[in-house]
Amino acid sequence: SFELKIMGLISEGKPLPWEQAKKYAEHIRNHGINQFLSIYNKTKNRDKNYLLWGDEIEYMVIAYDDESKNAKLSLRTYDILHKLQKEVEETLRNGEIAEVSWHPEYATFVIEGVSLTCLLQVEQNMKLRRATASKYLNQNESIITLSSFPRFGCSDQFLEPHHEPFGPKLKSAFMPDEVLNPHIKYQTLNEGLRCRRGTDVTINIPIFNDKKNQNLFPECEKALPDHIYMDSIAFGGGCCCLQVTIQACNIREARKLYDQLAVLGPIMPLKNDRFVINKSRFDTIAYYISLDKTLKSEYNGSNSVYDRNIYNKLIDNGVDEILARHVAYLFIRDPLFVFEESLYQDDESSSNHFENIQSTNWQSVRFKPPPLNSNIGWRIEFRCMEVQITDFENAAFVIFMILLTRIILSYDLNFYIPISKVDENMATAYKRDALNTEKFWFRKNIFANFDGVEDEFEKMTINEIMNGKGNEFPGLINIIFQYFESMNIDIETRNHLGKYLEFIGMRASGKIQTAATWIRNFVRSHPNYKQDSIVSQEINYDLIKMVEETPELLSEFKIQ
Amino acid sequence: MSSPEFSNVNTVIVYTGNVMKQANINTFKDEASFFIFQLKLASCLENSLKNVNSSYNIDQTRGILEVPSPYDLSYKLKDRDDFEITVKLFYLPSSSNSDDNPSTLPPSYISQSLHHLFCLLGITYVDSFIVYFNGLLFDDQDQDDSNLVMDDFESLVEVWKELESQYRNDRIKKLGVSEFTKNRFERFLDVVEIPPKIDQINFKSCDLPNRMINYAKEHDIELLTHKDPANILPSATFQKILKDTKFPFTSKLLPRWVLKYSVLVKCREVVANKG
Repeated sequence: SFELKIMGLISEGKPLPWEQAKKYAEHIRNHGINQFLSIYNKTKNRDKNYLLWGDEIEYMVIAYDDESKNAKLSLRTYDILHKLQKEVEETLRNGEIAEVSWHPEYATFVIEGVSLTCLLQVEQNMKLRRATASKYLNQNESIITLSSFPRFGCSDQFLEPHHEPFGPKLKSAFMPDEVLNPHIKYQTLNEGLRCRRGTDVTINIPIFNDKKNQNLFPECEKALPDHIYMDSIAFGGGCCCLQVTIQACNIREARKLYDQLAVLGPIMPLKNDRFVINKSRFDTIAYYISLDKTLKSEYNGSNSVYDRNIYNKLIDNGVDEILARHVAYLFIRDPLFVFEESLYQDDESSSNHFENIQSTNWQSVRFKPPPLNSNIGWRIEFRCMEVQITDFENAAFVIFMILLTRIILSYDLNFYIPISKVDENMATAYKRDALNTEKFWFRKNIFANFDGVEDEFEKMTINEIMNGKGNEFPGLINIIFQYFESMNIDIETRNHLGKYLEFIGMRASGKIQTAATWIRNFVRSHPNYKQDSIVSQEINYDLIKMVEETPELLSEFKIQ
Repeated sequence: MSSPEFSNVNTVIVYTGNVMKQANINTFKDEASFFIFQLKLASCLENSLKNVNSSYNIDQTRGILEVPSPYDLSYKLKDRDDFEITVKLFYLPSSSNSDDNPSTLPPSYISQSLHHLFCLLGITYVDSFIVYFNGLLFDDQDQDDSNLVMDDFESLVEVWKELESQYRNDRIKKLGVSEFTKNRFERFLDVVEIPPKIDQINFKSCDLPNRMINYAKEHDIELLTHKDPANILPSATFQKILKDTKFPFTSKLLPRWVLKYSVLVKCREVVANKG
């Protein structure tokens, strides 16, 4: 199923119910820190790791009922996933390389990037993922990448097979419990999140007001007028995203990239209707962590939330103050699920408890230490992007992020703005059509040789940030083109990469519309639409069919 | 700065320093503009020459004055194997030092430029050496080869022989040319011993030069791209910079060659140094 994104750790065994799990919070935190220290001390001097990257895409499976013109979300995802995983196991048993791996939320691949030409394999592999998954679909099913399913939680049938809401777990007026991934871990996670908060989740998102207004949720007291009301964490978790993980050459470089990419977080396209809880797990980073001189203390602001005991323990064990604060901040969270079987671990040879806390912090960028017993180095995970409808678009965004890290390192770029401004940008980014109508805080001079302290940042549009602003700002895409001139790239690769960047540039300038805009226009011009902000079953059916055939938004970018 | 010190100087080498660390808004303007490109190169040279009063090296016996960049501290590369170094030598319009024969291309520029680069970076070889002969323009259809007349051609071959010698001495791992069309290649391959493994062509996003692409694939030639203008440093521009920075013997100096180098970190695709 397309449910709650839990990265990393997949343990077997039975998780403890929340009431019992709570008692072990301290235990897990303590051992998690020990495990972090163990990894840190073993790998802090690791150097010269190659550029490697991986991306993760989340898919939806649609089941069509052509007779009644209904496109529903299929709950067969778990079965399909199981078959895909079996296929991978078979491949590995035959001694072959598995190019794709499948997880409950996402399909991923990792490629050894040793030249820019390897970037061209990103799209190929994405197509391979789609084709592979398609093998296990039924006749009436298809697989799509859409950031969220339009009729998720609607009152009639949106799930295949159909289930009634108001189940004991989610207790949602809209969402049956069956949307939760059957894997026991996800069920417990949901329970943990609900119990921890103490109250039910209340989400109100402003509705797109069309000609006829109406009160859509008359029975729900928590629903605000002119808002779409949602009452379960399942709604947020049900959004599909695109993530990129990049390996740095050493810890210093990873810390630098973590900071720089955190600023870029709000600038890249976000999930449509993700809810915002101030500085919760699902948010921008809390602290910058680089050791560069360019990180001035005022950028981190006056935020001082972190676990003091853990901080001191890290300092005592050789971690520098900046990194200690970052880890101590992550560890203010309680673990959300606890497995009885794996409570007692050898901290020198297990990272389970550390990963437990690390993976339940859903920040926009994640700083990932090397896994145990592996040559993999320090990595950054960039988690902010919406999945796009076509693989060309998804590949373009992945490639852009990787190239962005190359220019950050090659030109020593400095994107620092105060974290409070990054938070403001994140809030701005949620506004409808923010891409075309809003301005974002951005550093004015991003080059290494700048000495000034006045007016370091100003508001720019996404177009200006990406494509440049006259004589004042070069535009990230132009810097990437200039970087190509210093590399030895063959002409065909150069041409192909150029197309991806051209696309990103046109998306940034609004010349190519976003999926959200396209969907809005599609709905509003559908003959069945009643000017009442409601996407009916039939409109949804036609919309999903169109998405599947991949709309001709990108015809000019077809590469032979 | 006393004049007698410079009385024997007949050669001046100017270093731009690492341009990656000197980037500013001007660096990223549209390369198609002739003047903008010169601005970038010129501004780096200018930075170096402005400081000539405080830092320069002079080799009295050979009469060479070196003007280093103020941005550089120590360039010497450690762990040479981690890096891939590519250089491109531009023979400028005023490259000929012979009054009789203005179109000769002195092969000596190769060893001269390499020598200075080796000293700068503390290296003993480069991975790729690409040579650009002034005036050559790429045309995939090979309609016009008028600027490659017989005299010029022999001069190219002489330069190439010097490159082959450097190659045999392990100072260059791979040889390349720039703006060579299929016809030029065929003509060239007839007379040289070690064939070019690289051809660097000016990148235009509209048309791919399919004729050349196919030819390159058949002959195992890497077809790379660049966006350098045809004349990377006109004499007039150079002399203006000298005048603006109050450099002593302006009128006598003509730019002969430009060596562009790139130091890339292998397997990380990061540009460590470029000048």
